Amino acid sequence: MTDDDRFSKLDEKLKSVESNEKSASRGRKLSEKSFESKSAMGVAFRIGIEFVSAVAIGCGLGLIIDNYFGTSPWGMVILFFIGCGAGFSNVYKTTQRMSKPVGLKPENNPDNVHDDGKT
Amino acid sequence: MATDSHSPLAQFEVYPIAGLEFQLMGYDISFTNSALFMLLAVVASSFLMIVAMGRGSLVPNRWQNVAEMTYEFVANMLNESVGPKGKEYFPFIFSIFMFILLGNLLGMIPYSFTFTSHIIVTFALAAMVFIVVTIIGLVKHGLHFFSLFMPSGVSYVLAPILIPIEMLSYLSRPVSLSVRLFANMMAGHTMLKVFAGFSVTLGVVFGLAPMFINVALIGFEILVAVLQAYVFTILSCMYLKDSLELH
Repeated sequence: MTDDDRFSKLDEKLKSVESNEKSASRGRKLSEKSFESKSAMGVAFRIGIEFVSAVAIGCGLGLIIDNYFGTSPWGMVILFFIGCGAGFSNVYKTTQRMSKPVGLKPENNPDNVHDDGKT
Repeated sequence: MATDSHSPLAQFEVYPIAGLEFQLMGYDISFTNSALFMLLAVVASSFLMIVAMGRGSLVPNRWQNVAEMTYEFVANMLNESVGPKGKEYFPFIFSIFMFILLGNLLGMIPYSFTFTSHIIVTFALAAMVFIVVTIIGLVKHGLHFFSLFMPSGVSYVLAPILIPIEMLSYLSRPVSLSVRLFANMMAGHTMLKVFAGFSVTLGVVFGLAPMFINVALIGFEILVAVLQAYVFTILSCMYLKDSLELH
């Protein structure tokens, strides 16, 4: 009788500890996610740079081609538009990538071979 | 850039350290404060790894724990973004991560110099990643590497438009990679100095408010320092994956 009491008490304690741990781990996961991409400023900044760098590279390359072949301004005009296209493609790829952050260890994933540095 | 000692941009000034000014064939190759902090970053990261893992015990002490955690963090990142094929490039990726991380964090120490706030430094790093990744792709796949510029499953009608777009997108990688790191570090450090300047000019009473903002900003800057090292490394991994797998 007293044993049963003790066991039920132990069960309760175990359950409370387990639920605490679960909520703690959930909190940790959320904070890890926000570490990567939840800062709106950071996201905007990243996407802006992706777009602008492609356009800048396009214009720069166009200027170089124009200087070299004397086709001003057509090289720059054409490469500007191609650069815009490349910028959009960069932005698309970046946003696709953001939806699944890498580097953070997903749980229960058998493909993720744990590397302990000894093999 | 005219920077007197009160300007918020004075912290970015590169000057040769006294007694270490050298000239080589008309080029100035002085040992500058920027070079000093790069050297410090290399020494600090090597020291951390060598000393902390010197007597690798089964139950790690604090330093060993730090070294193991950074190792596992980068190893996981590489394993997940590139896969098992990326394991042989671990030293490259890990060196980049440690160099940038230590550079950013050393820059957070007052009176120190942040070499990652200069675009030429970050561009050199990004260009190195770009060139290495391209060479790896060319060695692994030969001329087949250029199929990277033609997305699979696209009709050949679109090829004349898509191939230039993909090529420009590929060429813009080092620019976006370097500008992201440089702009984040430079903006953050300038902002810190500007708020510190407010604090001085507003006097003892009103100057307290910018000071508290600065305290929060320093915490934020440390987050940015770690995050930007992470972002630079993860993007290098992505590019490595592209040239290893070609899609």
